[in-house]
Amino acid sequence: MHSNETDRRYTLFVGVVLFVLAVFVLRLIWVQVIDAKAINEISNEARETSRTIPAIRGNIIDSEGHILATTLISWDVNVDPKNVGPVVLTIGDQKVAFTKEEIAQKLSEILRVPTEELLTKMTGTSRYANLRKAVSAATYSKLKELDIPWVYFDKKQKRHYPDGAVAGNLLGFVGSDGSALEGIERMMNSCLAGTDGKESYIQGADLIRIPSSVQVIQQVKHGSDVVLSINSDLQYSAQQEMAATVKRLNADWASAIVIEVSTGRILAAAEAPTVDPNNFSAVKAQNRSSRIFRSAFEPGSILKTVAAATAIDAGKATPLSQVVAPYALKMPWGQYINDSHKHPPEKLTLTGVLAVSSNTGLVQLGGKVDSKTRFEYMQKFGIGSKSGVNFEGESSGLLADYTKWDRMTDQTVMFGQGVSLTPIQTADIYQTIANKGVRLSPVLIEGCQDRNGNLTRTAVDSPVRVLSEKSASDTMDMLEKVVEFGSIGKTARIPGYRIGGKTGTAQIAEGKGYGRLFAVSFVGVAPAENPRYVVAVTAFRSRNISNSLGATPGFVAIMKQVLKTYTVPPTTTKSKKIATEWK
Amino acid sequence: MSVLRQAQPIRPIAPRRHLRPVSTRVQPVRRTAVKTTSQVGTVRLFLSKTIVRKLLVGLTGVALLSLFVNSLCDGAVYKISSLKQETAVLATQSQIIGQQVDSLRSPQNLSNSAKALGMVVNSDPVFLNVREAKVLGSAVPASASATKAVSANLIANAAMTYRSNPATLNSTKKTTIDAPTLKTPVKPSVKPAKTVTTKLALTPAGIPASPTN
Repeated sequence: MHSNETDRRYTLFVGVVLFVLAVFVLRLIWVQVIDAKAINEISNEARETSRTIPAIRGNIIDSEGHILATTLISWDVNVDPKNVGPVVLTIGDQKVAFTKEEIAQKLSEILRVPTEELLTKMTGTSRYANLRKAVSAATYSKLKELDIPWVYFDKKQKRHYPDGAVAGNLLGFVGSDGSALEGIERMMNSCLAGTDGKESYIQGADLIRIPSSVQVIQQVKHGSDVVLSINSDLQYSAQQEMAATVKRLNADWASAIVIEVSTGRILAAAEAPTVDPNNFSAVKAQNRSSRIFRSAFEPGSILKTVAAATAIDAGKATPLSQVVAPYALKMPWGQYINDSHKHPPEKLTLTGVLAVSSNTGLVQLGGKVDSKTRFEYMQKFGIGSKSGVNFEGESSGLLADYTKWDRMTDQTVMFGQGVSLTPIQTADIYQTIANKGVRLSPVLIEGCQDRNGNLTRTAVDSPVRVLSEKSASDTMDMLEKVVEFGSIGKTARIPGYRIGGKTGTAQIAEGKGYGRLFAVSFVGVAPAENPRYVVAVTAFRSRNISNSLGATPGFVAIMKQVLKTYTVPPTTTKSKKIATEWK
Repeated sequence: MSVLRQAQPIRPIAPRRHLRPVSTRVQPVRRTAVKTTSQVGTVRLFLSKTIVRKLLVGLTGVALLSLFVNSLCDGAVYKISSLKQETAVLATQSQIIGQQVDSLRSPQNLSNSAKALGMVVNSDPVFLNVREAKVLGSAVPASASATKAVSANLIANAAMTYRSNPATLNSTKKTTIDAPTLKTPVKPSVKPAKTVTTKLALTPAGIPASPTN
């Protein structure tokens, strides 16, 4: 009897438990299956949150691995004006009460914003006021130590250029919203930018994320690095020289390019004035980009080398071809071509024509080549087309088709008038001659390097054979005589080295004619017996010196630095003997 | 189902009725121990009680284990959160130090420091060809006047928030560096083309002190 009672109770207990379980199971099925979607939505709205994982923009690095542009974290400092009031701060072991005004004073010292301005922003009933945007980690750290309850921070990415204006003309800059605005930053944005990621997660009542709830919706892909051919030390030296040149000549601007002959790599592309990308709004708009790639102007006598090389390669002249060069040469149609200074008729060889930079001598010898052939050679030298760099906003210069040349233009293009070139195109011409007649596409951007160090090289144009090796060698020999015997060319000498180069004093088109100021330049190659480097210096609208004497000191200083940087030993050979005059 | 059936009140189970073939052959009588229906019910009840107990103990165990794991996870969550905050602080400090290093090693700061120390650029390098014992180039002392135009920094850098203190640099103590000596003779991998007799400026005492320090 007793056993039966126990069994009955037990059975009842189990029955109740099973009933409750059944209710739970049914409810579970209802929640998990039948009404799951609606409940999930309500639940997600209440507890689930998502966030964007910003991709970190890649670095821009030079040929030596030195970082020229990188990404740091910065903080916007904000307040909640509605809650602004006295604060008790812990100073040492003591708690000290501060008034709103005293706090504003402290903030002013850290943020370097006037106290009055801060107080104005801190007053009101709104819930947000920005005190200062994009403060550094040091400033943020100081503010964080104060631990003011109504001051809060928004974290963002900030582009940082550790070397300031070094290569600023090339790097470009990004806006405060992170958008690439100029230069390589813009040009290589697809490599640098990366892709933002997204994840969702459930957070607890204390806003702490529940780890197992994190779901990656989109994987973040950080930006890759852009590797440049630039040597930043050399770039700095060249920029220093150009800044000094602008000051010395009172010029509008000056530029210097260093190219490695055998590879076409641009080792320095310096300009002054230029931009510090950390503070780009501080400079005028025209100084925020690269004139080396964008500014095309008539190059003047620098281009005589092309006419002379063409004549030699076309078999119409040799370095010893003779000509009588008067000061003024009357053309068959009655117009005159003059030299830059008055002189009696000179008996010059083609080498001598280049050495004294005679217009009248050149048009006689260079003119032996027909217009079409000269035009084709100019095209092969890269004139009239963009360099292979394809820099942001690059100019292709201007080379009209030879059929559109009038009779004077047909002559003047030989000495650099009626045609316009960018500084990079000019430097590329001398790279061609120095590289045994083969033009290489200039390289500024080596490629895009991912986070594992895999470099995807930038595509470059195929090399172009412009001159035969013999013609290029003859032209180099003539350029050496410019530095040996030219009145201005002599100032480009570097003791211990054989240098070849050419001067240029170009009139600058203004309105319908030419202005009174000049673009003075010098392009040189060293060492001439085994050319390794081209340095091209230009000063635009020089007011103090109106010939290449304004450019040669900069050339010498930069070329010396190049030879020292790449440990090029002084030469042990002598130049060929080539007559510059005849009797 | 079995639990339900087992939980029913125990009553005698009626024998099943159905036709079955009957052998006409006389079978030897076997005495077997036959359990009564009451005994069978008791066994089943005992078994079912055991199962239910085990089930309840198991469920309680699982619940306790779950509670324990949950508390561990919660603790880990707060630990992770705390470590993340610590990482953020360290990242900020790292950035501050990184920016200081960037400023101090920037070419602008180096140029200014070099100038403050009285250093000038020597743009006429001399190369020593050790194999041929030749000096290439002419050694010309560097002069301040030759590099005057560009010795001061002319390049802007808004990111240079820290600068070297030239006074500190000047007060740096002189350090004597011993000339390296080879303890064991090294056999040259390439035989020299000819024996070269040269006079070395280096004294046995080591590298002479630089006049410019």
